[in-house]
Amino acid sequence: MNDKAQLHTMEGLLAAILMTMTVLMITQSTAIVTPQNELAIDVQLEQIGSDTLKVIDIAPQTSIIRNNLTECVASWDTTTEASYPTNNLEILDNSISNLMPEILYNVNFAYTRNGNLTVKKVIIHGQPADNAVVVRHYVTLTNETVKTMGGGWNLADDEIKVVEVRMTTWKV
Amino acid sequence: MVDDRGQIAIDFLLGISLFLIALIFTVQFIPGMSMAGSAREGSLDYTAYRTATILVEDTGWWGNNTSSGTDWESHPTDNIERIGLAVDDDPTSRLTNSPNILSKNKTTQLMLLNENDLTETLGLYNQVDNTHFSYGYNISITKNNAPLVLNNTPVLLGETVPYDRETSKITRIVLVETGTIADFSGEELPMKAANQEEYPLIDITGPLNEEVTLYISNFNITGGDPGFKKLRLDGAPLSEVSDYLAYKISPNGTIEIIGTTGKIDNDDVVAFVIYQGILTGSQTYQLEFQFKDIEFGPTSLPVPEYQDVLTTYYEPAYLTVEVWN
Amino acid sequence: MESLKKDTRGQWIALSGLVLSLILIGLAALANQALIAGYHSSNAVLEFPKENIRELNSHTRDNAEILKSLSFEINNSTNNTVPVIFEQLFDNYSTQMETLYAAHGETVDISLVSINSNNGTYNNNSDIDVIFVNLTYNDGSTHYVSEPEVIRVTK
Repeated sequence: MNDKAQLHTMEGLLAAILMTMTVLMITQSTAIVTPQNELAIDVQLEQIGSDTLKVIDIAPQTSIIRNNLTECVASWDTTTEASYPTNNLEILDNSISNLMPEILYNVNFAYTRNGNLTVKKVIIHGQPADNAVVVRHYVTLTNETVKTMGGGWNLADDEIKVVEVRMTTWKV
Repeated sequence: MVDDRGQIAIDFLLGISLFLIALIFTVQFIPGMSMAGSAREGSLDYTAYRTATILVEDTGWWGNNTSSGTDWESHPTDNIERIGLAVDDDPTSRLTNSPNILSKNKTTQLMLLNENDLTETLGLYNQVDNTHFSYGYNISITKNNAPLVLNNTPVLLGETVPYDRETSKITRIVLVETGTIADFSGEELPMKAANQEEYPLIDITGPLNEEVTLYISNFNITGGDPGFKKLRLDGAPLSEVSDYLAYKISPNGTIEIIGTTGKIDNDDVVAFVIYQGILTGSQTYQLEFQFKDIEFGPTSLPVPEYQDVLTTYYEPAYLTVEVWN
Repeated sequence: MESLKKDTRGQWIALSGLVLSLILIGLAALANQALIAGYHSSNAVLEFPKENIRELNSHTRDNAEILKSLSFEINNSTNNTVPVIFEQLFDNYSTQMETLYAAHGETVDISLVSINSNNGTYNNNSDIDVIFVNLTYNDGSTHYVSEPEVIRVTK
């Protein structure tokens, strides 16, 4: 029985354990610390925003969302723009914040008037952060829908107005 | 070359060969190890995104030798080519397009599919050297942070999400077809008898073995304290605790339970949910609502029948797909 | 220093150092390549403007329904036939859409190809059945064409 160099064996074992532990620690910590791919976060934000507008757009009367997007837009009075912190389209604001809590957003309407583009602020929740994403949804208004909803669009009976609902979303 | 001893230690040679063999072996047999970081993350993100998109925006497709269509949920034994949950009113054509509205039948059928078909059709695997590596996945539809229940089954697929692993998650907002609803307008409801304009009536033909949801809107308010008092079924009062639930939805979407003291505005919608097990007999039940300071239609109107105004009820919910290696 | 120049021992160790470093460089290059490949292939999918195209498509569908009922309404008060009114309204729609998209650097082209009807008389609401529309979308990196997009106008 050779009982020399017992400490060397111990050293070898210790080194092996040390190496394994280091590798394990590094892989474990990167798995937790590494943030999600930044692009994937943007895509998720865009998707949520876009889904929100879509769901409001297609919502039937008999759901919790009482007015769909076209009706919300039609009911806008067109003369007063939003200035923080007062928003002037409560119904739309409530529907959006019910669907995407924890996400902030501003909403603008863009439409053509005599061939020129007009952009109006409708809902303001603050200054967008750096990672803000813009989603857009379109609605077509006719005088009939505007009259039913009591909005101020002043359309002729044979006129259509395409309105772009432009929503800037960001996370804080 | 005076002294050529000690060029290489045999220990070192043995050690380094062993190390290299072990390293090569590890790299060969654990795919994904050599491509750490974003590469793996990226493909996970992509898988989650793709799966959620197909489920939410596609109707699915099935086909055999003779026919095909989008109604894969009614052909569970045939070859399901794609799984999608979006509703479709014409299963024979690819023309209809209704993303973000999920069909109840498709969703319940999805829960019945076996594990293999599911990973295969949704592509929840990674292929390395012709070998399948299935991803771990968790697909759920939630509402108010709890899984949505369809036909008494919570919509929840896959395993619980591991807390110590890197996962990729995508959430979609959808409208889910959860059942049916009858929507009545105040002036269409006849009052119970002359001088009892606050007590409208609705007929319901049984047997009904599920929850029954009714909406009443367009209230004509006549007094200073409009509210809801009681619900009677064929003359006998129902219990607000065990038999039904009444709540109101204001125009901005807030929901509030109304008790006997709750006030109703003319643009509110009042919803009644009559629980399962109340209307199980084969007979026509008559519901009598007792309101206060609200006027309904004249007695001459026919009593409306619940089944005649039945439409599909959609609820906003969140579909979440989470995948991991 | 002189003594080190004459010392030619340990050449194997020097060589194995070289070999090892070469192996390391090779492995690092491989790992990097895999990383870049994965990044690019998945990004292409995530960056595709799916929502913009889908919205162009689905709004044109919704709009067709609105225009249909509006053209029957206008028909009651003018001498123009329903297809003529529909075409005028559709032109108006596509001009507005093109202006709105141009404002954020995307070019779209929406043009009506044909209106199809079962009996061709256009005197009641069920007459416009299917319309054919050409759709193009271009945001600089993605070019999408649907010619024709077949839209069933059912309402």
